[in-house]
Amino acid sequence: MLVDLFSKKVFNLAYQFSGSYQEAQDLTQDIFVKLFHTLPRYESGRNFSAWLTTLAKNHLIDEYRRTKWEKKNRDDFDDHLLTAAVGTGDPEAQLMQNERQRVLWAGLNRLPADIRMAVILKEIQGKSYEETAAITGVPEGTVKSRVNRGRLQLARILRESKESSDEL
Amino acid sequence: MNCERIEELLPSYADGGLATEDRASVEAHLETCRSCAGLLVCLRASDEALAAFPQVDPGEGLRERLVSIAAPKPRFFFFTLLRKPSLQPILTAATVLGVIASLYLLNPGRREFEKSVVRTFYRGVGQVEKLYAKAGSVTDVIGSYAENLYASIKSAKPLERSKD
Repeated sequence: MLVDLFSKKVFNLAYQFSGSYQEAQDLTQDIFVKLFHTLPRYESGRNFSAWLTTLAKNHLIDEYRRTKWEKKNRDDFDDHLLTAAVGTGDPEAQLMQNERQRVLWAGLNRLPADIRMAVILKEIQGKSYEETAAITGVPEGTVKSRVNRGRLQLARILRESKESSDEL
Repeated sequence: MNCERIEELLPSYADGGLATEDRASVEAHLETCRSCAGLLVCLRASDEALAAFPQVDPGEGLRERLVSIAAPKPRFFFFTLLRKPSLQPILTAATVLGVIASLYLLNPGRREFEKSVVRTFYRGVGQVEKLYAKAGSVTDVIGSYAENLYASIKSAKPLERSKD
């Protein structure tokens, strides 16, 4: 069933992009409403997962552009992500990893929408450049450029955070 | 190359995607620049942390909402109309009337039933007529009593006062 197969994937994309659990639930619902309306237009033979991710990405970007002034804060990392994190076995390494993820989670909000989406798809969702280009509808070179800019910005945010915690 | 240019190359350098010449330039710069070397460390840590981002469970409530969206909608307006709660009493009454009508119309002894109904009806009419006739005679009797009473009252002399 479509809901069982794809709801978690769509929800996580919406959550990583919006940063709000409640909003991600509403966005996922909207995306599935769109999906069931546009399903008759799906051409069999196409990669369904990529087609659905494109639909989800378009909706997320549209919603972001429509209401971006309201999207100032993300949920705290601890609210849902920390409980879902899988332990590595080494408590100290896990603690450091969680701290980095906490900084990056908040840092995602400082990336422009297109760059944020590219970073989420490539770095968090683990898509290839080719898949990310197909989903976002831009050339592969543009995707690489966006992903690299996003990674560099997040690395700077991580460095800032490290420097400020070292100063304390 | 300055730090700004090296920083731009760091993501590709971390991926191992730089041409030999650029890679050599970056490595030479990193040996002397602590800031860029520190950024490379942060970049690698950031990549690792992003790749290990946990997948969050959307919750059972959302699943139920999504399943309800996916449920097939009734195709015909007629069936939607039949399901309306406000129409249920009317539909129930129509069903009962339909059952009664079918019991009557499809009954093989319908003619006998009709005859018995007609007989019962006329018997009833006859009884009503009899009652009506009886009622007429009663009113006649009462009328004659009333006339007699009126005549006797009229003919009676008023009482005279006894003289002292």
